[in-house]
Amino acid sequence: MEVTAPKSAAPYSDYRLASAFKLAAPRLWIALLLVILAFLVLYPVAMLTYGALTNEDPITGSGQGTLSLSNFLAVIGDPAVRNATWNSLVICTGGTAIAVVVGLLFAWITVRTNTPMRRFIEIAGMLPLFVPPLVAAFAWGLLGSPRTGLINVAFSFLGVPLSVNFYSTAGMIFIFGIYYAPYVYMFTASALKNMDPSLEEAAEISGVGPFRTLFTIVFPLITPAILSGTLLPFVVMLGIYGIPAALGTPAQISVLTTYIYGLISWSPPNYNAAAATSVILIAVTALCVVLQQRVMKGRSYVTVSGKSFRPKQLDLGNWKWATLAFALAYLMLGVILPTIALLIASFRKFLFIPDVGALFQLSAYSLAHYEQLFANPLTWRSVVNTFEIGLVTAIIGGVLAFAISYTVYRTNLAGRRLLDIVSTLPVAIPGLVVGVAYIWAWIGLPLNLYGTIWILALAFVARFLPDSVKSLSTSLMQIHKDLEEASQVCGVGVLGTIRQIIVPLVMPGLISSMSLLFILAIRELGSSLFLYVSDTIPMAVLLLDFYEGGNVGVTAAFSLVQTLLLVAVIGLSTVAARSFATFSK
Amino acid sequence: MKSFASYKASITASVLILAMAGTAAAQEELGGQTLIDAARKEGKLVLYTSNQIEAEQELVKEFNKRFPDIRVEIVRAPGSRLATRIATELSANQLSADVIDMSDRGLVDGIKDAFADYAPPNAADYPEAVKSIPNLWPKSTWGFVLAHNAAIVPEGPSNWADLLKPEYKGKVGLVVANSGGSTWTTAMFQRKELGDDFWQKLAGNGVTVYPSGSPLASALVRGEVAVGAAQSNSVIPLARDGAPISVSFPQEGIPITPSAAGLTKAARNPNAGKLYLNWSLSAEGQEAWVKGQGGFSTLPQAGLPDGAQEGKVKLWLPDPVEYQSVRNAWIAEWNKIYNVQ
Repeated sequence: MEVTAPKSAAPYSDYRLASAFKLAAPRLWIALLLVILAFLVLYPVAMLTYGALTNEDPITGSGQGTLSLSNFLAVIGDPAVRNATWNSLVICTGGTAIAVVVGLLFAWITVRTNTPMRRFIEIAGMLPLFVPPLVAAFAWGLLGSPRTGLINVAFSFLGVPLSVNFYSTAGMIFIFGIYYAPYVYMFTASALKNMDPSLEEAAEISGVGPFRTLFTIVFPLITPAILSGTLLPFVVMLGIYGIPAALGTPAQISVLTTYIYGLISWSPPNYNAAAATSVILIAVTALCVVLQQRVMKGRSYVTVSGKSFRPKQLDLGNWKWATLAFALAYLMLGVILPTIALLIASFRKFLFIPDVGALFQLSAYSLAHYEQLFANPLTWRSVVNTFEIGLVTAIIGGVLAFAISYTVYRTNLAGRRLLDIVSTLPVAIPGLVVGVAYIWAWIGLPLNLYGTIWILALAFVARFLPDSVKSLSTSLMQIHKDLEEASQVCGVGVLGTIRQIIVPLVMPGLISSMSLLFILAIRELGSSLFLYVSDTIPMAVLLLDFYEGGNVGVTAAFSLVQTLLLVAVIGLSTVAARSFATFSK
Repeated sequence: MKSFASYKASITASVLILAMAGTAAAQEELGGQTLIDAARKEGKLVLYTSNQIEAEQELVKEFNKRFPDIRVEIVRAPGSRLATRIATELSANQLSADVIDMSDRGLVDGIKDAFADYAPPNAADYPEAVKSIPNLWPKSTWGFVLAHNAAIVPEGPSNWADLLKPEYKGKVGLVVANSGGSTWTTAMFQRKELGDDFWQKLAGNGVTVYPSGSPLASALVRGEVAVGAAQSNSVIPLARDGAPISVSFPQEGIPITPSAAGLTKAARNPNAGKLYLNWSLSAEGQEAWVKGQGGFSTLPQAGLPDGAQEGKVKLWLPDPVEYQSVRNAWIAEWNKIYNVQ
């Protein structure tokens, strides 16, 4: 790739060819990425847009349908849609606020303070991310339902004159906040880890207190990470169905996703209106992206430079017990309580628990639900399928995300802005609708994707491109250009620099972004619903089948099994990332 | 001696013939030995269904007791999602189903091209009312009954009008009318048989609305709601297994919804598919659904689920034309009354 000036009598034509290649290569590179994105993103989105503009199914329709804006106008004029949009905005704003506060504090606690048990908190704090939204809401329905929720049963046993009701707007905000805090945590923790502590040291020497340092130096420095960590959960929350379905529907609180679900699930299904409604989500997301770019414009957020440093740890004194208590309270809400609820539900024959005494009747417990789960031939098939899909998604998605984020954030190639925008698009389309878009787009292609795990994996690669690109870009943006320039000055080419400098530096980021992809692929439900066939059923779909079949015990047992498998995978990948870090040192 | 021997021989022969005729009759009911042999050769079939996955797996287990070497692969989805999948697969020439069992007859119109000519051997035993769509048969029939948590309200409602009693105010659970074919039938039944204002009156008694049958059944078990209208096949097995649930069969009638099941033209395993349909629609298959899973049947020989008394239960089938014609307008009204969007 690297071309040096011809030595002495090298043929002139070779030089011309080489320099022509050097000129053309970047364009070919951008073109290649755009072609991939066109296949993965633009074509399905185009199908969706066509669906929103017409009154027939893009595949099964006669092709004679008229194009019009009537779907959009009907959607915008519908008071039910306006109500659902308002509810979505309120719930997701509230949820994001909680997620940012909790996630940021969490990152700071584990990375920069001497709070006890940090290692444990760090691992356990990520656990809520592994819980599929439907499972989280299901577990919190068991805990926080107004009449027989376990929390209310416990309150009345203890004589506490309080009661909670998670079938409410406040309940949903709380659950969103708890379960999406790990998103914020992921973005901000790596930024904090890679931050040069000299500024903080300077503040400390000048007598500035730890909390003031936090708000005037640390947080402003990691603003891009915080902004990404704010934008992404907000947009992801907008597209989540499981939580409002389980907690909002009993209270008749409608949000955009449950409204869209109704449009496509009730009969007759109306995909055209669903596609038009999802355009509202796309618009809101686009607005968020533009806002983020405005805020970030012209600022530098480089925190990793060539200087060597060790992240500084702040001695909190007695405050460390307060931060520990905060972390433990979070673990209690995000992990321990819902796990207890799932354990009870999976081991108990029936979930009728009128008082605390009923919890301790041993005769009410059995292994029956687990036996039933493991006797089901679909269970193991779905586990194997899911791991295959997750692995393919993580590898293809990770490599593609690296290629895109490197091109967007570290080069000046023309067309990189377009890459950025196109790769952000999928985040805006709710999974339920995206599944339909993919089947519309890909079923007719002569690649025979349909009926294989590849159609699921490719759909997930596309769907989670924004998540993986954003999570990699935070690692990339923090690496100072000096390092690359130094490498190039030493005569190393672009690819060589990527291999020798960039890849080792972002490897932890790349591994964590691949793990994220793996987790997201395993959790993903909405877009799988149309893409699997009997051979390729993934765990999430089988879980929904159990849930919709009304078998609470088996649903709870499978939720726990799924979560345990994910935790095992993450444990392994953390070990892998650590040993890579040690190895490269 | 000779006559005795021939007498003995003829008895043995006639017993043998009788026995063979018995199995032959049974085989004839399922389509005959040739079909069975051909189905065995195919060895598997793919079924698309809206039935609950574990319930269908139980039926397959019963089928496999007779035909252990035919594997049934299931793709399960609620009616409208299934219809969308089928329509899309169909148009791309990639339909992988051999047998389709649609819960909602209203959704069949868009995919009727998928089905091949088919009728079960016992077609004549089915009432005319369920033969309105050519080639499609009521493999599964769902019915809505009343259920209550016996630990909270020992004396539950015994008819639909009881749901309006003040003692149940705020304790009634319902499923949204548009969740599927059977919930729509139930709403239609209530309006036509219990009075034009029944929906309003029931809404006035403070109801909690669930998006589908299973969260309602789970809410009943947990006591989140005390009484409710639920699918018999989700609450009867729960009660049988010991959940604190009691089921009653309301005297005004039980709204039932027959599915529409058929063999596909694209079937790769047409014989196995046909055999599974024949078995499902036979008295044996229908009994497995009614007695084993707590469902209903439109085949008179299949009887009623446990707890329902023959002669005391009135099954209510919607008029197939009206089922479609008033649907959208009435659902819109229902949604307004129950504040569902």
